[in-house]
Amino acid sequence: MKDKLYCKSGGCSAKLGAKKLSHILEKIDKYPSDQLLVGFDSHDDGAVYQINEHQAIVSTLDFFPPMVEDPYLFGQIAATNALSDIYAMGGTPLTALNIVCFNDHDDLNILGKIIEGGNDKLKEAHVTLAGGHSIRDESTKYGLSVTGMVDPHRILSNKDVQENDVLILTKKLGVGLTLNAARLNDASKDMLDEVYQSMTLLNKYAYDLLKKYRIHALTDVTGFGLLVHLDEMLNHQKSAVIDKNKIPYFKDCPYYVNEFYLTGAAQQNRHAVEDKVYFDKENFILEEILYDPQTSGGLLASVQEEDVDMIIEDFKKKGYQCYIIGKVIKKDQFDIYVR
Amino acid sequence: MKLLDARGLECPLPVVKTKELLKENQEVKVLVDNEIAIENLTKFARVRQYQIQTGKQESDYFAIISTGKIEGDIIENKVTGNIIVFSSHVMGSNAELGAILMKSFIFALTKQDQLPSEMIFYNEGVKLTTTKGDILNDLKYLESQGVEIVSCGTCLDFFKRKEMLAVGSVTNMYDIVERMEKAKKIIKP
Repeated sequence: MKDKLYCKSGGCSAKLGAKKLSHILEKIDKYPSDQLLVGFDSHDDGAVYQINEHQAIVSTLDFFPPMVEDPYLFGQIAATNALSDIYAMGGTPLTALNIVCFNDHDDLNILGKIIEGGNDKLKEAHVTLAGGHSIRDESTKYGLSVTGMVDPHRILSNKDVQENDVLILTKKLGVGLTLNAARLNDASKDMLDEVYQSMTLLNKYAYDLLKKYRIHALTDVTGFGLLVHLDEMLNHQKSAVIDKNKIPYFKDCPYYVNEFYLTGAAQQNRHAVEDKVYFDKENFILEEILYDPQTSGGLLASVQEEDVDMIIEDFKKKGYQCYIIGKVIKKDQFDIYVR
Repeated sequence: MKLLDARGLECPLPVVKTKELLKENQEVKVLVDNEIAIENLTKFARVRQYQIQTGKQESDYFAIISTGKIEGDIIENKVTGNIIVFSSHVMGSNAELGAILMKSFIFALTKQDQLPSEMIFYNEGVKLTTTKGDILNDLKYLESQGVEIVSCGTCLDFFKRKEMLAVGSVTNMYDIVERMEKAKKIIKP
């Protein structure tokens, strides 16, 4: 018998809504530190703490309930997702600690497979598993806390976009929709294979190609969907125009939207930014795809216009996906224009 | 009416189950325990052009979705049969004041219990359906409430704004004449 995980509403769509969260976090009185270069306030991908002039620690943590039934695959996805934040900060991951919640009435081999999946991705990324913490819980959750290093002068913030930058995205959208369809037994094997492959593709490869170029802002697209992550990137300083014909998504997503396989998280994402987004024409399918929460999504980079051709060429040469989705413009009435 | 208790179910299950039930029932009442589910049901009804009524019931929410007319007098007709015509993007002769007045006129419209059936935009009125901002958002809201919004095609061409039309549809003078003749009342701000 194949080991199966029970999935309810897992992955990054299990994230608490951005709006609710910031309401609470605002009130927390944190011990101040001059060495903390990136912390809570910036809503960035990870925290950065400077040790000396050339070195800073970058740390991040990510865990969630299963979004796929296969425990090994779940472990791989969780690790790929957790590592992603380090790359999004411009760092190099070094060590990782497991975070495990598991029901001890279940077969422990399942947990073994989850951890094995996670570790295999760590090995692929040349990251050492250094320990972890496990607790008994009614439902399974898994993730990792990852520690890495970054040069304090080369931190990639998620919000220093510049006018005329080109926005590129390195994975297709529609993970949340496809996982919902899978849960309802309405996703084809081809679609699932493609989405699983995407979720387990380390953002390391995209980052390694991007880092040679003038990247002004970088983030990974996860539970908040493309539009909320992009809006954070624009930071009320700039606006962006997204080309509605150039949004990459897994091909059956329009069907999933029409069948209303919509996550609650997508609706929360809509709440978070809908006032700031302008759609030139009502386009229900595209809106849902742009608000769809991604688990282990790709990198969203705001890059110097002149570097784009070379970046695209590099990605093509190495066989990785890379899509130009829009550009940064002067601050206008809306933050994001989809046209 | 078929009852669906979808409390405790996470999205998208309330919508998916409602969708299934509507294949065999004309009307379904869904109980859910969160507002997000109500919003997704509302989107579903809007896209499928079904009628929907939503409300709160103690700590839960309900939605009644119907593929035909909702039974009884649950939803009264919100639109009046009146037409509002806009021949300018401002209200009155002073342009600066007129722009402010127009904005509050359209905003006030959104707050009415009874809405016009149609809003027709011609001459410089088409600037209202082609300029982003609060007015446009209000117009979109009115459209979502069943108000039909049309803009004169010749006028859009004249002001080179055809591509910018952001709400409603394009129409021609024959259609405008017909609409005006059929109207219960024509209102011009």
